[in-house]
Amino acid sequence: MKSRKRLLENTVHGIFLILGLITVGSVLLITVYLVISGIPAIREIGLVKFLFGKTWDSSAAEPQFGILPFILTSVYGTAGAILLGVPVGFFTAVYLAKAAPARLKSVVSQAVSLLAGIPSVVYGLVGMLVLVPGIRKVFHVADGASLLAAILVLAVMILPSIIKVSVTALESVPREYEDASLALGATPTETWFRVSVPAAKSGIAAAVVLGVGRAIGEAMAVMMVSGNVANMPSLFQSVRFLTTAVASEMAYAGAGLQRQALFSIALVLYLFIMLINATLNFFLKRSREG
Amino acid sequence: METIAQIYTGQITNWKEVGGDDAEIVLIGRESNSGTRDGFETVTGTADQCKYRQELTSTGDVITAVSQNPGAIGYASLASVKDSVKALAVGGVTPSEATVKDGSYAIQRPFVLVTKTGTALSETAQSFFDFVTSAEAAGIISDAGAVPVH
Repeated sequence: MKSRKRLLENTVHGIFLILGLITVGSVLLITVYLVISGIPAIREIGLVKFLFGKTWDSSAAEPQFGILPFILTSVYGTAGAILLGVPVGFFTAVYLAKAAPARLKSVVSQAVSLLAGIPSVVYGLVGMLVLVPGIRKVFHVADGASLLAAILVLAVMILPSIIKVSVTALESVPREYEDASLALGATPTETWFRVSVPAAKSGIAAAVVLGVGRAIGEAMAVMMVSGNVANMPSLFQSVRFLTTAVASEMAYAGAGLQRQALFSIALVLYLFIMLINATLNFFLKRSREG
Repeated sequence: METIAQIYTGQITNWKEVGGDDAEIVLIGRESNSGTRDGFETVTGTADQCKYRQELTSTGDVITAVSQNPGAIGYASLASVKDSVKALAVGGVTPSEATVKDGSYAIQRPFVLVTKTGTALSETAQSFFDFVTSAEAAGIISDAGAVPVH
């Protein structure tokens, strides 16, 4: 009887272990595959020429594979989206978690969930039909498909992850902290920003990581509003991101250097995401210890 | 045709130079390796010289982008052209099934069926080939907006 119970216990453990390994295995598989398929083109082109070359012209008679425009566009685009999205998301989260009346909170929370569920192609379509012509008219430029359009779309797209994770973090701040602060004579607003927010800061930082990850990895919506020309980034110019560089040429890229170079771009993107995760993990850890 | 090539290579950048309003010309095209782009650039002799403002990944996107911007020009298959955009006459010839067929509309390219020389087609392939080139299929091809051979 006892051995039977142990057998069952061990089997369950084994199943869980296998299920857990599926995730780890997928990550490893993707990493290994990306490295193997991304290295050859970098070798052939030269690492410095590939990363810092300013011209990308993959289908010309003498193709050039410089991805600096894509790297800078992705960095600027993500930074811009964070700059616009984080303040909006953060204050919305504080309001929802602490100040909003229950009914309003449930309405807004549902709207946020809905925003999270909208497929990115829909963001892109709305951006293409509303935002791009809007930018053209408001700023009197020849065409609205630009880095700015991409930043605005990304800023809206990252709102749900920032708001949801921050709200969860703020709500899990122990009630006693806030009660103590209020009892000492602090106003509710002082309490939220001096007590609740610092107590939830690692959770809020995690929300920002999620936002960065979503912004840098987004392809579809960005492809439809940014114009996709491999220019060096500037706010009203047509630009191409790391993601869209892969996505827009993959469909027709045959075998050979062009296809390999697309894998190399994917590898660079992957390293970027790893770097961002590592950096923010470092800050999270420090904020917990401090 | 030359004017179109000059517009796409950036020698003409304002609509007023070609008798239009004073507005910048916004060039919209397709991504590199696209068949449509290759067709257009080969016919107009502008391969690798086009100064695009936007490179989109589908014909539908090109048409949508052009329809949203009064200063934009793009290229797309005749089959996909909708009322939301104006089809340009080239050398005074408007594009239509008739002008494509008699060759007077200059920007056109054929779709080809490729078979291996010296080898007989399998029965299925042969019957597909016969059907595609038949009068029966011609109706379907024109309904789809393309121009049949017969």
